[in-house]
Order: sequence, then C-alpha cells, then structure tokens
Amino acid sequence: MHLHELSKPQPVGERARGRLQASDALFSLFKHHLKLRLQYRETFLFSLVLHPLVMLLILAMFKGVYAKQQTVLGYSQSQMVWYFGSSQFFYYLVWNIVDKNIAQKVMFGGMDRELVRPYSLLSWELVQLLAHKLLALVFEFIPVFLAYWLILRPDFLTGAGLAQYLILTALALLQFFLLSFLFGILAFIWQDVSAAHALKFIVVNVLAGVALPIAFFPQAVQRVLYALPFQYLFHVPVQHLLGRVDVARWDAFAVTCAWHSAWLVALFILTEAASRRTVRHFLSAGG
Amino acid sequence: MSAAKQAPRRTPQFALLLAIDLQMKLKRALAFRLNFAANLLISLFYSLVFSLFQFCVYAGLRGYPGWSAGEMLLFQAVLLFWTGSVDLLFGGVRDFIDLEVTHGNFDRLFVWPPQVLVSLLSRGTNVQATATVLAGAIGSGMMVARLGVHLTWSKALAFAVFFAAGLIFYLALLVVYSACTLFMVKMERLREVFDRVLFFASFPADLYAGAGKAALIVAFPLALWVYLPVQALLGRLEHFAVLSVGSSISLLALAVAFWRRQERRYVSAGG
Repeated sequence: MHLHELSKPQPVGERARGRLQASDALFSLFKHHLKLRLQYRETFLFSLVLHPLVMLLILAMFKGVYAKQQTVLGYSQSQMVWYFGSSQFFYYLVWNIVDKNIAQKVMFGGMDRELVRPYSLLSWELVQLLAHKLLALVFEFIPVFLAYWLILRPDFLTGAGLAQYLILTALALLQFFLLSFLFGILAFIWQDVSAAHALKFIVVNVLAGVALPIAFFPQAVQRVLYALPFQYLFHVPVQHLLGRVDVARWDAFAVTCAWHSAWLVALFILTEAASRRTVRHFLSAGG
Repeated sequence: MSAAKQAPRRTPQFALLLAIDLQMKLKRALAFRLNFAANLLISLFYSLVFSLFQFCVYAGLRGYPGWSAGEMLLFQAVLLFWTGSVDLLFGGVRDFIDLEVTHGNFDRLFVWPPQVLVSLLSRGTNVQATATVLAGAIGSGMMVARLGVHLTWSKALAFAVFFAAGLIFYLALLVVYSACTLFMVKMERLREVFDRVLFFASFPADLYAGAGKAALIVAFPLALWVYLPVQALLGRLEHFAVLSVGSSISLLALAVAFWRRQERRYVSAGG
C-alpha cells in the first residue's frame, strides 16, 4: 500500500482486520514482556522470604500497643497488622516506576526509538506494566498473602471483601500508571523529573495512606484526604479487604467503582492532553 | 621518566571521593535548576510530613511507654537528621548500581583506581538531601535546648559513636544489596524492603514487645539509627546498648565478605 493510500477511508472489514492485528501485536508484546520479566524470577523469591519477616516485625510492634487496648482508632489488632502488611501488596500490584523509565530514556537516549514504534508510548508502557503485575500477582501476592494468613489469621476477611479489594486494586493500578505516566512525560520539557518521582512518595505514603491509616491524621486533614482521588490508590481498596466497609452491599461497591472510574477518565483526558503538548518539546540526542 | 621510576599512584580516600561526587552532583543539579529547587522543597516537605505523621501515630496510640511529647519531638528531629544524612551520603548508591548492572556498565568500575566497593559507595551522594540535614540539625539543637538536656562531652561522644555505628550498619545493608544486584540484576523488591526497614527504625524500640526490643538493639541493630543516639542524648542508655556497636561492625565485615564472594563470581552481563 502506498503512503497516500493510508489516508483513504478503508472498508469496514479491513479496519476490523487492522484492529485485530493491533490487538495481536499488543498480545505479542505482552508475552514478550512476560518472558523478559521471567528472566528475573529470583527477585520474586525475595518477597517470599523477606515480607513475612516484615510482617512478624509489624506484629511484634503492635502486640505491645494492643496489650493495653482492644482497638486503636477503630482498628482491631489483626486489622491494624494486616493494614501495614498490605502496604506491601500495594507495591506488588500497583506501584510502578514508569516516570523514571521515561525520564531516563529522554535524558540518556532511547526515546526516539520508543516514539517511532507502531504503538503509542502509553500502550507500550501499559502492556509492559500489566505483564509485570500479572507475574507479581501469581508469584508474590498469592504466596505472601498465604504466608501472612499463617502468621496472623485474618478474622475479618470474607470472599466478597477480597474480590472487591482485587477489583479496586486493578483500577488503582490504572490510576497510578496514568499518574506516573503524566509525571514521566514532563521529562520532554524538563528532562530531569526526579522531583516528580519524589512527589510520588508523598502521594503514596501520605495521600493514599500507604505508610499510615488515614484515621491517624487530625480530622481537618482527613477531610482533605477523603476529598482527593488518591485515597483510591490504597486506602479504599484496603478498607474492603479488612472488612471495614459493608462488603455485602454490592450497590455501594458499584458506586465506589463508578467514582473511581470517573477519576480515571479525568486523569486519562489530562494525560492525553499533556502527552500531545509535551512531546512537541522533545529533541533527540539527550532531550 | 620510565614507568618503573614513577611514584606509585595513590588511590583517593573514600571521604575525598565522596566530596568529589557531591561537588559533581551539585554542578549537575544546577544544570537543572528548576528540578533541583523543586526537589529540595519536596524532600524537605516530605521529611517534615514524615516526622509529623510519626507524631500522629504517637497521638493515635496514646503515647509510647516512657516517652514524653517533647522527647518524641527530639526523636523526630534526630530521625530527620539521620534520614537526611544517609540520603546525602549514600542516597543514590542503589540507583547507581542498578543502572550500571542493568545496562552492562558495571565492568568499568573494575578498572578505576579505587577498589570496586569504594568506587560504588562513593558514587551515590544526593545533594538534594542537604535541606533535610539542616532541618534535622536545627530541630535537634532546638529540642535539646527546650528539653533542658545537659549536654556533656560523654553524651555528645556517645551520640557520635552510636550515630557512626548506625552509618556502618546502613553501609552493611547497602553492601548486601549491591552484592545481590550482581547476580540478580533486578532488585525492585529488595529496594522496597530496604525502605520498609527505615520505617521500623522510626519508632522507639520500647514499642516492640518481648525479645523484639533486644533484637532491634543487638541482632539487627536498627535502633542505632535513631533510638540509641536519642537515648544517648537523654542520658538513659541501656547497658547492653554498646553491643549494638559491635554487631554493626561484625555485620559490615560479613557483608564485605559476601561482596567479595559475589565479586569473584561476577562474569559480566549480569553476573
């Protein structure tokens, strides 16, 4: 096909075939990243050994605290220990360094190659991340979850709570990906965006409640945090896992998902708009 | 002059290499001024927020046994000083070895004049942490004055010894991390665990029940980072605390032995 023919409207059948080829290509890409990640499977073993040890340390810390009281800010001992233990699940299933990857390619070369691929930069990074997270789910989340279970039985856990946690975490994965991507593409303008990477730690540890339950903050701060979309990254999913919301009410869960999806759509529009504007600033040979 | 007559080339000292790296990082940071300024502000803000929410935990748990609010503020200030100091001196070491090994550039460290480990540990300074160090130092000084702590030479010496031993223990962990990177290449998980370790050090060891406290002081001396230096300032050190200095040195020796073993097994292209 000549180049000028690309601009002609194609018959419906050809367009459908084109879409099929694109999805095939993305699936191949997914398999490629899966194989690539499997080359480094030893890193998963670290989780199996080290994270249960971290859980034991958390348990030792809170045993002393709960010796004098039954609940702390509405959390039972098992809920509190699992809250801190679950922060590791955030790193398995949600956390990414997409911003850092993009910035490094802009600064040290390699971005020009990324931009001439037949997929958008966003699709490329997302497929890579999904492959990574699928492996993390199988080789890290499930075994470590079971190890945590052996260390401290989760008396609060229900099947519905776990299912809702996983669904909300999948949405959180997309939300955090878009956020990181947004920070990453700022490198087209500023080259070094390590400040944005540092900002991510504030978002995760403070605004999403990964380092500490939001209930520990003063009331005024809590009101602000609950109004922001970052609570969906960790705080909201983990409340379902810990049974701190009525997990039998699927209608309420649907409303939560709808709110989360609305934030996702807004973030996607913002990312797309920013992507178009920032990429114009890119000059090969190191930005 | 023939090569034989040349004076043997002195390998630069570790401290000198650190200073050179810091100077280079500062120059590089000034090339990206906006990012540098934002980074300074964010790292200072994050450190302050981190200290603040440690205080929220203190309030939420209705205090820690044996710690007044003022003493906890001193603890937070020393925590700020500690995190800033390790970040300033070694904050970029993990990034450095990750990049070198992943992109196959690690071999060049073998042809540099200093030993590989010395080169590695002296290439990770982070100039952005300066603001945190200053904030921690000023905060610690203010709290020592407000609490009316009578600062004697012996207390200052004990603080310095425990702080230095804490740095030695941190170096031991960094060496283990680097040695593992040589054969595992991707180290994301260990990075996260590394960061979680700091989390446990940010609470007084008195909070841990049973043998937990002894383990944190002697076996895996996380207490060296903040708890023991603060206890030294407040003049209420446990007798067995000195064992932590010995264990930090022993752990560094073990870590270096592990590094040497991995270094011998390293065959380039990811080990």
